[in-house]
Amino acid sequence: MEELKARKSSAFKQVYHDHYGMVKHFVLKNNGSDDDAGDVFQDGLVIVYEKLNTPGFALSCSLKTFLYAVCRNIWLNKLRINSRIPASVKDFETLHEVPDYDEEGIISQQNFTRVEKALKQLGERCQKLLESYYFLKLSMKQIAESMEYTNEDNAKNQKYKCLQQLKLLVKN
Amino acid sequence: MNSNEQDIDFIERYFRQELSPEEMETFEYRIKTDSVFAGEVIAMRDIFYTVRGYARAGLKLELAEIQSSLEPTEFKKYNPKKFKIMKWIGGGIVIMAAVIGIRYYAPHSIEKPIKEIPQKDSIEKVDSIIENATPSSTPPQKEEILIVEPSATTKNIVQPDIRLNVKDKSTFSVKKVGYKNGMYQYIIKADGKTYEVNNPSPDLEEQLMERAKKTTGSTVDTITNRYAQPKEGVDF
Repeated sequence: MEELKARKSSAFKQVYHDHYGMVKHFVLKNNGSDDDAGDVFQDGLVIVYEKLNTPGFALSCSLKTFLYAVCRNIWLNKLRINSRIPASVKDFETLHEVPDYDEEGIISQQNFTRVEKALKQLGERCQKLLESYYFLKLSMKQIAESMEYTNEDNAKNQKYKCLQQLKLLVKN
Repeated sequence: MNSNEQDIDFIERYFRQELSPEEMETFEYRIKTDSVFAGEVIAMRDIFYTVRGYARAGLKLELAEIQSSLEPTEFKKYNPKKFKIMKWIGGGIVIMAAVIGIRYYAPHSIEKPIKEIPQKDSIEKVDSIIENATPSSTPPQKEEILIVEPSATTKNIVQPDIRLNVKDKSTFSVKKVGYKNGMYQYIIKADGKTYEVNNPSPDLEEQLMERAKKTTGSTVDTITNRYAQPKEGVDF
C-alpha cells in the first residue's frame, strides 16, 4: 500500500496482476469491451491513488473491494450516460458509496487547454509543488518534507511564486 | 503575507474544501461585493481544476504504459465459477443437513415419502423436497401435526454459548426450516461448520437473530412446508 501511495511502478503492476481480471470480467459482462475495461481500470486506479494519498483517509475495506467498487461506479456512470445499463447491474448501483471525481465540465475545454499549455511551460518542480497541493491536497508541511524545503513557510512562498509565474504564462 | 497572498490562500482553501461555515459566508459575500476578488476566484478555479486534470491525465498515461507493457498472461485469472462451485457445495451441505433433520426429527409421515434426492441440490430445492415428501393428495392428519411435548423432541446439538462465541467477522448464516408438525429447525453455518438446532428456546432464538443481524449481508431465510403449520416465523 505504501508503495502504491508512493507511485511505484512495481506496485501498480502488482495491482494489475491481482485485480485487473476481476474488473475486466465485470465490464465485459456488462456491455463493455476490452478497451473499456482498460480505461475503467486506469480511471479507477487514479482515484484509488488519489484517495490513498488524501490526508486523513483510512481504507476501511480491502484494496480489492475498494478498487472494484470504484471501477464499478465508473463503469455504471458511463453506462448511465450512454443509457446502456443492463438490468442485471441496476440493483447494485447504490450498494457502495464510492468517491466520484468526475470534474469534467467544471471549466471549459478552452480554458483547460489555455492553462494546460502554460502549465507545461512551468518548471518541473513548480508543477510538482502545485500538483501536490491541488491534486493530492497535501498540507504545506507534508510538501515541505517531501520536496525538502527548509520549512513550511518556505514551501508556501515557493508555491505562491510558482502560481504567479503560471498566471503570467496563462496571460501571455 | 500581503493581501493578495492572503486572498490566494483563502481561495485555495475554498477549492480544497477547507473553509469553515463562517469563512464560507465571508467568501460568498466577497464574491458578490468585490469584483477583483471574484475575478481572482475564476482565475484560480481554472488553475485548480486544470492542475488536477493534468495530474490525473499524467498518471493515467503512466498506467496505460504499464498496462500495455504487461502480457495478458500476467493478469491473475478471475474465476467466478470457483465461487459458484463453492455455492453449490454449500447449498449441498445445507440440503444434506435439512434432509437429515427431516429424517431424524420430523414425524414419520414426511420422512418416508422422500424417494429421491435431486443430484444437484441447492438451497432453493429444499422447498420442493419437502413438497415431494408430502404429496398434495395426502393431506396431513391432525394427530400427525400435533406435538404433545415439544421439549421431548427438542435436541440442541450445539450449546448456545459456543455458537454465540463465533467471531464477529466470521461467516455466519442462519436458515430456518419449518415442518408440517409445527416444529422448526435452524441450520446455522459458522466458521465453516454447519450446526442444527431444533426448536430453540425463545431467548436462544432471539440471540441467534441478533447475531445474524450483526453479520454484514447475513439473512435468515425461512423455508416452510406448505402443509406445515409452523410458528409464524420470524421476520428477519
